[in-house]
Amino acid sequence: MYRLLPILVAVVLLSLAACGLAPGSGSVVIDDTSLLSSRTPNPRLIGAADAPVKIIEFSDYQ
Amino acid sequence: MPQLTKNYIDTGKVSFEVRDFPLTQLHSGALMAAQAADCSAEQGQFFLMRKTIFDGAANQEWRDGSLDDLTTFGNYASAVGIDRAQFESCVTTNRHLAQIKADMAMAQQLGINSTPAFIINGRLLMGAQPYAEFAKIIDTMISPP
Repeated sequence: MYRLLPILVAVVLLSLAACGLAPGSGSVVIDDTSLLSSRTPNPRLIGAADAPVKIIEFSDYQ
Repeated sequence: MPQLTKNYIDTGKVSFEVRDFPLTQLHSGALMAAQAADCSAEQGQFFLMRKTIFDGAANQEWRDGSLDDLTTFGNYASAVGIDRAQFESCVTTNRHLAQIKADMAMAQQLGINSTPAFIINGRLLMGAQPYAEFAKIIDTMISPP
């Protein structure tokens, strides 16, 4: 069974690649491990992080 | 904003956070602008860049997220004193696209469909509002009647 494992993995990866789902197959590079909102301090926040009132503005730019 | 900053933010009563909600169907350059702002955030100049981007939009210095706009945003980066090469690499590799999409998803979950929109301790306030409206809501939250 274990001897077949590399073949099974290869088949799965080839299938994913054929569907455009393999790692690195997309055209857009997205780093989702560094969300600004989860950083401390949050660079998009001004004021005390523990302030009793928290205002969040959702903003467009045009 | 200056009054809000002086009376509430600088006194520790209020924190103010900006999230992205580029209205991409209406404003073709808004997504790149959001990325430019977020890429400035990682170099500590989010709020100054945000103001510069808004001022530039008012003066029609950028429009549609084209390569010309990327150059304009790069000029802004230099003007606000951040590393331009690092900034441009950040924008062109979509480094904060996941953050923008997360912000947009949150806005849609909250029923927001226009900007500006504000969430004040969970309360939704739509549209640009005068300082007095913010002050009234904040004062009520700090000292309930």
